Amino acid sequence: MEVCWLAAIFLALDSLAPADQPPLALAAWLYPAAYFLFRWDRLRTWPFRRELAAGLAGGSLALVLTVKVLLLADLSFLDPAWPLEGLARASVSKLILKRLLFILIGGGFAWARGWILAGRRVNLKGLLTGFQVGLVVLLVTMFLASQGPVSIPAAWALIMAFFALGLTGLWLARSLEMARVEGLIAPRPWSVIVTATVGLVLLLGFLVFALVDRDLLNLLLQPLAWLWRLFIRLIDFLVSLLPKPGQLERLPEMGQAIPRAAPEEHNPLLDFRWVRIVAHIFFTVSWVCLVAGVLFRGLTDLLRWLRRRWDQTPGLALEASDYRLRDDLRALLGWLKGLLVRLWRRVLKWRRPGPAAGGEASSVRDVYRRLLDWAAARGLTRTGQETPYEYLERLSLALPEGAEDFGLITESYVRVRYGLHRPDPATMNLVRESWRRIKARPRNRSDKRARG
Amino acid sequence: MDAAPNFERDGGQTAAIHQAAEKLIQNVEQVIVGKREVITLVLVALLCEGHALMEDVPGVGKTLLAKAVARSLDCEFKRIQFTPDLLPSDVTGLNYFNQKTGQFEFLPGPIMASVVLADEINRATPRTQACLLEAMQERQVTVDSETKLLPRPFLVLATQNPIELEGTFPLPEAQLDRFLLKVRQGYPSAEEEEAIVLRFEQTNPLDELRSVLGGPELRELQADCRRVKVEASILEYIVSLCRATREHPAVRLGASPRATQGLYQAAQALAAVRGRGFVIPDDVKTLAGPVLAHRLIVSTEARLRGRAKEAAVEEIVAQVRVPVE
Repeated sequence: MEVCWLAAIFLALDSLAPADQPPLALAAWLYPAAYFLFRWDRLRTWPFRRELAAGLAGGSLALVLTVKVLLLADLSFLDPAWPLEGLARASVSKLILKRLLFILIGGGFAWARGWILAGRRVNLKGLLTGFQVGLVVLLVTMFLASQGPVSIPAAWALIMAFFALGLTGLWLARSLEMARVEGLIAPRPWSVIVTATVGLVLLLGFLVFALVDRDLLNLLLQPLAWLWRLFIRLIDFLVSLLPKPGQLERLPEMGQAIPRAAPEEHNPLLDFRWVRIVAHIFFTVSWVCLVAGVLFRGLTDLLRWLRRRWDQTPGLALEASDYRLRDDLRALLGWLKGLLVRLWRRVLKWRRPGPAAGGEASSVRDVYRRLLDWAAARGLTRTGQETPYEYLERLSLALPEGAEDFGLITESYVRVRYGLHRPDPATMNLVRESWRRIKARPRNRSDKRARG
Repeated sequence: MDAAPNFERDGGQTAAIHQAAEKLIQNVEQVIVGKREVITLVLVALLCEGHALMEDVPGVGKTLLAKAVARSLDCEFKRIQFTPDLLPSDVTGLNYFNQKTGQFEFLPGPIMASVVLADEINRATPRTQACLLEAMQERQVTVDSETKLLPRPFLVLATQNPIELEGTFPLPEAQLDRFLLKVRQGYPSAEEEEAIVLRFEQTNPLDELRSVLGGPELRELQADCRRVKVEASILEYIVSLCRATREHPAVRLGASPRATQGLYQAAQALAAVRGRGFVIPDDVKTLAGPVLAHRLIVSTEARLRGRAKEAAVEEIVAQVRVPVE
């Protein structure tokens, strides 16, 4: 659960860093670092004051190192002036200052959470607390993200629904059990309780999914907006006190040629695109593992709870069972997989172009769609940013034998799609003939070259 | 410029625009060697009733191009050489006291023409630059609380030099936003440069240039351009491009709704010039740089990194999805 909202925060903040700089999400390393450091047996036996001092000193050092690596990667470690240079850069650019603040606040928070978690046992209460803390942190993150240049992806609503669903389910199950134990509600068959709980949870989840959006959150978090502006003003004032960088280089005198900067040499060690890709894969895998873990844990709790209900219900004899949760889970996952495969097949069937039903005009579009699929199967997939003519150029270069047919189909498609023209029967025949010729072409070496 | 082949000309009004455009381009090409794309862009501005800003280093033919376009049109042409001591009244005109009649009379300024060449526009003070705002947007000038309409068609072709900074006043964003397009001519190729030298060896072809398009004819073509079809998804594409400039991390101030409107109209005009009765995504992509780039303000960080506005627009164009199936 911890990694769940940490990943959400850092993924949101990641868009603050340009493509040629290390991703800010890497600051998340502070979380596992703190967790494993304080799980270390020797450190756990230390007295509290010593542990506190070690935690603060270690956290500060780790934060400074993170800032150096993520924001000042171009400066040498051996250069003692890099902290001052970092401050000077932050005082010049608000974007750099924002990154610095996000690393300090986000990284510090990650360190603190890792530290706190290292001293806790994982149980239902901890799970509930984690959900609640995660929900609050997620709300605050979304609010902060909406105030800055970070664009909130549509997945936020799903994350919110997931949190609300989980939290409500746990709360309901717990409350119902407590109410029954304390005799506050009349004893009812367990099936009624389970049906009511699941129905309510699903209803609330769908409501949250449908209602929560950026505007609603902004409305709810107006008081925070005021505090945030106050905080930014304070930061602006503090920044104005920082040392200013040196004088800018003078422009050349009139009549002199402007000196051109030498082209930068490409340093593969400073190319952070692959780091970003690895970080994204890591977070995606973490997400999937976490959701799977929470589902597993939730199912286990639910089954145990049902078992207890059964045990406490007088006169109900239970059939002897091995009670293998893993087998049940495997069967459930198998059923889910089958369901997904069926759904996917249905989607594919729905997307597959059927016979021309909308007259001649729709036929040209169908032919073009088939041409796209045909070319994609040969490794020439159209990118979303390519216009039909740009794609035609690429297609004709890769498969010059079919250039004429590609051209005819593309031109007819452009007229139908953007010009809203209705092609005459002669044109339609030409288009169909071209498509037949393209389809009849056997796969040859040039196709393989195109794929390569 | 002609990335998209013109597979079949649309009849009627679009064909008339295409023919007139070809005639005008060929006429200007008698003076300007190469640079068909730049001439087409100026023509697009002309057909949209917009204004064009030509920015480049001295000597590449900015003023010559503007004069050639103006000569090709059978309209009144005036040239204003912008200098730091130029006053707004030198541009708009002024009321003077006629001693013979004993009355105040209006003496029109050079802005009262159909084609106005504002040469080295960034050399005038902001006060004089500002007097063009009303003229360019509302096609009228106000002198001594009296508003006077400008003739139609009305086109401002402005030039500026991006290198010399001393004694210049960079155009404010409000002023830049009023230019539909900013075009850069760039240096000619070696062959083109040879052709330029030979062409101007004996005579100046500009002196022999004749007009090929009259004012009323141009007005009709401008009206016809508005009738070029823009499919709903193309409109969405235009809007997405303009909105993306407001969200790009390297851009502090994105394109205005006026820019969206400009891109829409310019795409219609370019489609008509290319002989099509409908706009295709290639038209929008071609015009995104000239129409949007000069209106953006890039962030300080991007400026320090030496990233140009054009590069930001290219990035945006490379990110926004083209409406295809």
